[in-house]
Amino acid sequence: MSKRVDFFSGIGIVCLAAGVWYMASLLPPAASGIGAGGFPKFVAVCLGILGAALSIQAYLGMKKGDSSQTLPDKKELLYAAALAAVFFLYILVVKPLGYILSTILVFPVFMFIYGERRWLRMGVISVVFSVVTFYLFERVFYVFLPHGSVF
Amino acid sequence: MPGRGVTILEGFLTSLAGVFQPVTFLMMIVGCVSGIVIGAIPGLSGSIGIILLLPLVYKLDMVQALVVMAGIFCGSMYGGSIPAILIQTPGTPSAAATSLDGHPLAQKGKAGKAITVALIASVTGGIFSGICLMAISPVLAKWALKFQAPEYFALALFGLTLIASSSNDFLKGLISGFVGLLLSCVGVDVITGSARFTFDSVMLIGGLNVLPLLVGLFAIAQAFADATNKSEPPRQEKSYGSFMLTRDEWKRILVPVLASGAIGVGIGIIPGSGGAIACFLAYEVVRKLSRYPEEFGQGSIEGIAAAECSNNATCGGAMIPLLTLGVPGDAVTAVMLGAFMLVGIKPGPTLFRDYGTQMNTFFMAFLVMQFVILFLGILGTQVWIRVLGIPRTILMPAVMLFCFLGAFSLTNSTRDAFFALAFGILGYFMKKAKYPAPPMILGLVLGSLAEQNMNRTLMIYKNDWTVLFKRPISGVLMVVSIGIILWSFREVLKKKKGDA
Repeated sequence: MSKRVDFFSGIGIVCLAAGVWYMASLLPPAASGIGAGGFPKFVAVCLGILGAALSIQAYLGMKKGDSSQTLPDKKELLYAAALAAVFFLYILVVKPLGYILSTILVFPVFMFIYGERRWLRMGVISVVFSVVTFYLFERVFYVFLPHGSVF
Repeated sequence: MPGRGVTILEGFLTSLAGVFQPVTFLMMIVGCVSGIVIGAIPGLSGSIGIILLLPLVYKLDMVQALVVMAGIFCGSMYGGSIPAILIQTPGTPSAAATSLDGHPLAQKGKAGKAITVALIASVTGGIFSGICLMAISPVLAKWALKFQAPEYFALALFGLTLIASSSNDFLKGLISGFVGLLLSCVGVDVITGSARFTFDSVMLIGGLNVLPLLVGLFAIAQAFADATNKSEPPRQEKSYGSFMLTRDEWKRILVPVLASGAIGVGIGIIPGSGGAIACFLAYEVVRKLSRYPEEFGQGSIEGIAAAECSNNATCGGAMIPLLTLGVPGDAVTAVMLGAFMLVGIKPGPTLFRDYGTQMNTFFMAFLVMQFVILFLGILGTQVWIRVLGIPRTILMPAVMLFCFLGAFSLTNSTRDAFFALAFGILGYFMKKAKYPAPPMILGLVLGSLAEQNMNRTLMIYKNDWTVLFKRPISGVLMVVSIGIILWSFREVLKKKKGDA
């Protein structure tokens, strides 16, 4: 199974290299030096070779039946996807809702995903964390955090 | 001559008296404490620390401003080792190599030793670089002036091949490094002005910052893995073991510290490079010199010592070109240069001519602050270790939000936070597929250095590639880089033959 991942990731890298080469070819050439497309083409060639080598190595390993890695199962991927989705939503809402409110809403969700089930504890810690970090960054570090444009 | 000796002694005592002026000494402590705290928070770094404390720096005189900024710089280099060891999340880019051995050692119940080694190595590196800063900066600066475009390109290639060869899977390490080089191409090409790989997006026109990549690949990816991979051993080890080192352990870290200190100062002096490069370079050199190379990556105190000594040694090294030439040695000193302009300090040769006494006081303060860091490190160890006692259900959400804050505070926009998340997702899958992250970081850091200098080399020498091998310094670096690649492939083939 793991060698299969290497095989397909190698192919993916070769495709990436081909795409980079194509996009670099569209860049204007330079009168001297390597131009805007020269370095990306160099990187694309190297990536293409390396990706092909990885795929070949993986294919030969698959034939021998070698499997030395573990991959996340569906439940694990679900947890990771949930974390990523919540983080994404947080970045979207932090400016309209403001840092304090959005963090108070999101922190308990993160805690829940990580396994916390005591609601009072989640609530208290979220509020304390949000307020303390807000004042630390705004008043001490002078990093101005969003105050919220909705209110 | 007695007259000259008295003058030197007078100068020494004057400098020492200047360091222990109440406000100056207080600012040193403020800088060191702030630096350690900021360095220990994943997502923040010394450069952000200096930016955050600019409102304070404006109010200070020249020496006090230099001292607080240097304190943040040195403190953050040590501070970054603490989360690298305790929760496998480097606090700063320069602590990335520390996590390779620091966390495995903590998982064996020896977090105390790891922290002690990191502290001793950091302070030693700082002292060594302070002595270099003070005593031989004119000579080192003159040598560094010889670096031109071919040498910078060769250095970039050398750094990349070295870090790729240190990965468990050399092929994947190289792929990761080259993807990093590719990421460095995103944005506007500084030579031709052409937009590359921006897909007409305003978000990509400015290129990719290394901070979101670091935050995402290391910290957010780790946070994702922690939520999903419940079969791994518990991350919070309750047994820290002894903080004391045995006599053998002191002996074992001696050579790594000496070698890494020199590497750190050397790398720090070269403009454009810094702790992130030095820590991996020193790590790899020490691994090759070590009698126990098989321990590297499993909890080697030599590995920790190498990484931490070199990154702190870059502090003094990076300040040499900054103070003597007005050219920053790395990202943090680049921010310092901006701060200097804001507070009216004009770095360069005239700084030493017009403010000799103040510069001597600063050099003395640089050495004294290493002992302040040692003291704070010993006192604060128990405080920082308590991070391990914080439940994972609180620690990891806090880490994720600090990552957001770190990425957000760089440009005060959510753009970098989105990038950090994207790299976090990439980093998670890279972890699962066993692609190493450090080469990608280095590829992004070195990419623009490599490309611009490759371009300049070809333009200056009329497309003559062979100049890279004809010039002595670049020639040595190129030959060594090619040698490393060939040697690593040979090792891979040997291993496969052994397995078959």
